[in-house]
Amino acid sequence: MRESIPNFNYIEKIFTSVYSNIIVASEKGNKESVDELFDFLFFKLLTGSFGISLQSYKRSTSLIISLYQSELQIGYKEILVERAVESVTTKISLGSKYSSDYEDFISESYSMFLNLLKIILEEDNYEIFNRALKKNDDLLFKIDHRSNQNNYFFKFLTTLICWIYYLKFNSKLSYDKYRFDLLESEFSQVLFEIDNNFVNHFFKLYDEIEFGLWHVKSWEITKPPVNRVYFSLMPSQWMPFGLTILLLRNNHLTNFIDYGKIDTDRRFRFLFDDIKKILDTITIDSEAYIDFIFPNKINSKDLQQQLNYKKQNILEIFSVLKKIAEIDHYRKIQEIPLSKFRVDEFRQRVGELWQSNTIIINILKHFNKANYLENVESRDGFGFFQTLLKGKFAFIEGELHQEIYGLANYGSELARNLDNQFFDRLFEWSVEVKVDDLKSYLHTLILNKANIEKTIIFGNWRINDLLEIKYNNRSKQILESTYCGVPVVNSYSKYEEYVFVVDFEKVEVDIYTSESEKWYNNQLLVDVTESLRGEIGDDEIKKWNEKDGLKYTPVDVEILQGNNVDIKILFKGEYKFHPDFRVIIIKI
Amino acid sequence: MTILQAIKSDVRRKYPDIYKINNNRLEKVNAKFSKINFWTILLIYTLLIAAVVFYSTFVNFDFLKLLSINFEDNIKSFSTSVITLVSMNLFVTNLLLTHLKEERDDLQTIIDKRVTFKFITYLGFTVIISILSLYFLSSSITSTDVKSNILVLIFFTFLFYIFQLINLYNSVFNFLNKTNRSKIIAAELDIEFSKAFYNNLLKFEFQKRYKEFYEETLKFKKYVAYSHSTLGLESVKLRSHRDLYLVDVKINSLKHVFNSLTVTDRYYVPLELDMKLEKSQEREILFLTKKIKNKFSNHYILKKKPCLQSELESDNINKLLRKISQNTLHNKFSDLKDNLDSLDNIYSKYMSLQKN
Repeated sequence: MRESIPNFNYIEKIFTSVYSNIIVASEKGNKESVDELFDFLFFKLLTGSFGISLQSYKRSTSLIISLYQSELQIGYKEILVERAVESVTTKISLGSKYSSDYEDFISESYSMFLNLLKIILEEDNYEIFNRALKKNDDLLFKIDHRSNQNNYFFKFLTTLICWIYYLKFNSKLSYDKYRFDLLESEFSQVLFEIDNNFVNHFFKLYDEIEFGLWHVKSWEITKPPVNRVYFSLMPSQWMPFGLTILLLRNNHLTNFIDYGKIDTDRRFRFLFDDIKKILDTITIDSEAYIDFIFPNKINSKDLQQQLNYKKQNILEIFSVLKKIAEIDHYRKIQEIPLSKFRVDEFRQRVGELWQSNTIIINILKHFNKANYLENVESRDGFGFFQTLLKGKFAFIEGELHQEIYGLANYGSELARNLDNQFFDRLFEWSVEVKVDDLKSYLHTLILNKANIEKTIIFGNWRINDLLEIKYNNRSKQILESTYCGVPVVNSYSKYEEYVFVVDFEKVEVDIYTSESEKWYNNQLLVDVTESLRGEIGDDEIKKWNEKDGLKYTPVDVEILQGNNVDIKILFKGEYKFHPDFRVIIIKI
Repeated sequence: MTILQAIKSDVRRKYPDIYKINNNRLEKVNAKFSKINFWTILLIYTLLIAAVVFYSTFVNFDFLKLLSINFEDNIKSFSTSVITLVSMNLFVTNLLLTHLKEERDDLQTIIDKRVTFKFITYLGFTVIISILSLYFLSSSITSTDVKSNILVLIFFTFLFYIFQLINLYNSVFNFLNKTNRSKIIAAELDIEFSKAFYNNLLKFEFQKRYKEFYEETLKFKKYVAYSHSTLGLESVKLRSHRDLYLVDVKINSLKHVFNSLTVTDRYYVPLELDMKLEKSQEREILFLTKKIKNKFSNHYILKKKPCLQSELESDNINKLLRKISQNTLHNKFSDLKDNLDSLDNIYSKYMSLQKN
C-alpha cells in the first residue's frame, strides 16, 4: 500500500498556498514573510520530501520553477534561484552518499536545476544566471564526477552546453555576458573522466532525451503561438548542432575514437548528412563561428587549413558511423524473409494502376475485341525487369519495413508504354495528313462513314478546344466526350501533335493469361524476388563506394547485395490489325 | 469479504494511528450527543420518568428500597441547586465565548466539537422542568413510591449533570489558556488531516482493488465508451428508486458467481466509492456476451448516505491557510512562522506516512 499512496488534495492546498503567498508577500515587499515562506519551501517541502516521496519532491521542484515564471518581484527571483541552486546542488553533491533508492530524487534535482537554467537563458537574464552559479560554484565543484549515478552530471552539462550553443548562434543569447567558463571547465573535467568515449555517451543521452529525460524534448526557443499551427522544435534540430560545435571546439574529442566501443545508433545512418549541412554553413567568412571555434587569432591561410582539417575529421567519424549503422541495418533486413503479404500488396497496387491507366486495352475490352489466351511460357512479354538496390526493406514485415512511395507507378508507366506501342503501330497503316479546319474535316469524315459504332478519335487536350467539346474526365467514363456521336479520348501518348481516328472494328488484342497467383487479375505478371548475389570483386566494391560515398569491405558489399530485390512486371500480349484496318492520322 | 473490509483491515495493519482516529467510537457517541436538541432530550427524559412510574406502580421490587427519602426536603434543596448549577453552566459558556470573541468564528467548529455545553445546558433545563413539574404535581401524586423513585432518577441525573459540568469547566479552562488552545487546534488539525488521508486512501484503494478484482481475478477487460461496441453484449445495471450511494462491493460472492460462468467477452465499468446513483437512474456496470440470471444489486451495497464524511474535511486547514494569507499580507512574520510550523506538522506527518 505504501508505494501507491495517492495524490492528496489536502497536501496540494499547502503547495498552492505557499505559491500564492510568496507572490503576495513579494508584491507587498514583505521581505520577512518571503524569507519565512522560502524557508518553509526549501527546508520543509523540498528537503522534507527528499528521499521519502518523489511525488511531493517533484511537486516542490515544479513549484520553484513556476514561482520563477510567475510575477515574483525581480529581487526575490534572484533569491529564489540562489536558494534553489544551493538546495539542489547540495543534494546532488551528496548523491554518492545515498543509496540507489535516491536515484530518482537526484535525477529530479538535475531536472529542476537544468530547467531553471533553461528558463533563465530563455529570458537572457545573465545577471541571475551568473550570480546563482558564482555563489554556488563551490557546491558545483563538489559534485563527484566519478560516482555520480547514471552519468547525470555529464548529461546535465552536455545538454545545457548544446542548448547554449544553439541559442548563441540563433542570436537568442548575450553569450559574452555569461560566465560559461565555469560550466565549460566542469565539462572538460567530466570529459576527462569518460574514457575517450564521448560520442557513445552523447548518443545515449540523445536517446534518453528522446524518451523524455528531464522534459528536454519539449524545449522551445520561443513560446509557441496561441491558436496557430507551428512547427515545434525537436532535439534533432539542436542536439546535432551543439554536438558539431562541441567537436569543432574540442579537438581531443575527435582523436582516438575507438569505434568498437560505440553502440550502433539508428541515427548514424542519417546524421552524416545533417552534420555535413551544419559544417557547410561554417566557413572562414562566418566570423561568429570562427571566433568561437578559434579563440586565438591565426592567419587566414592556416585558418582555412585548420578549419578544413577539423571538418574533415568530424565528417570522417560520422562517415564511419554511418557505414557501421547502414551495414548493421541492412544485415538485419537481410535476415528477414520477403513477406508474401507485402509482395501481394505491391502486385495489387501495380495491377490497379495498370488497369486504370491503360486506355487502348480497356477500349478493346469494351468492344469485346480482347482475346484471352492461355499463357505460353516461351512467349516474350512487355514490361519491366529491374533490380531495386537495397530495396528489400519495402517487402518485409516488422519494424524495419518502410514504404517506398511511388514504387507502384510501374503500373501506370507500363500502361502508358502499351498505349504508345499501339500508336506507334498505327503509322504502319497510314500516313499523316494535314488539314486546315479539323472540325469540318472530322464532321465530313464522320458523315461519310457508314459505321461509326467502334470509331474513336484520340488527341490531346487541344482537340477539345478545336472541336468545342468538353474535356474527358478520366475518372468517369472513358468514352464520355463525343463529337458527332464519335467518342473523343484525350490520350496521354507521346504523339501530342496528332489526332488519330481509329476504327476498332478491325483491331484486336491477344492477352495471355495465367491462373498463377503471381499474375494480377490473370493478365499481368507482377513478382518480387531476392536478387542473386554476384561476384564481389574490386569493381563491385568501387561501384557501391561511389554510389554511397562510403568505404565498404567485401563483407559489407555482400550484405548490401543481400538487400537487392528483382522486380518483374510483364504484360504478355499483342495488338492484331486486320488487313482491311484503316486509320486516319491528322497532324495539328 | 467485501472490498472495504479488506482495505480497512490493511489500513489497520499499516497505519494503526490513522485507523484508530477514524474509528474512534467514543468520539462518534460524543458527536451524536453534541448534535442532540432540547426537545429530543426532554422526550427521552419524559419517557424515562414514565418508565419509572410504570416500574413503581407495577413492579417496585422491595429489595431495591434501600433509601429512606424525605421527599419534601429533598425536592426543595434539589430545585435550588439545579437552578444554581444551570446558571453556572451558562456563566462559564458565556465566559468562554466572550474571552474568545476575536477567534470565535475560527474556533466555532472546534468548540462545538470539544465543549458539549449545548447538551449540558439542555440536560440542565430538562432536569429543572422535571423537578418543578414533580414539585408542582407532588400533592396530586398519591403514591409515595412513585414520587420517591422519580426523585431518585432526578438525583442521579443531577449527579451526572454535575460531572458533565466539571468536564465542561475543564474544557473551557483549557480553551482559555492560549498554549492549551494551540495544542487543541493542532490536535484537531491532526485529526482532520488523518480523516482526509483516510478518506482519500479508501477512495483510491477502492478504485484500485475494484479494477484489480475484475481484471486480475475475473479476467474482465475495462470497458471504454466509444472504443468498445456494446452491440451483441448484455449489460448489467444498477437501478434505484431513490438517491443511493455505492458503499461497498461483496467480492467473494461476485467471484463465486463468475467462477461458475463461461462468458467469453467480459467488460467492467470502473466505479468509485460513494458513487451516487440518482433516483430512477440506471447505471451500467458490466457488459457480458450472454444474459445472466443473477441479481447483481445484491453484491453491490448501496446506502442512503455515503460512507465517507466529506463535510468539514478541510475546515481547519482552510482556516490555517487563511491565517497564513492574512499574516503574509500584513507581514506578521512571527505569527506566520507559528502558522507554518503547524503546516509543517501536517506535512511531516504525511511524509512519515509515506515512509511506513
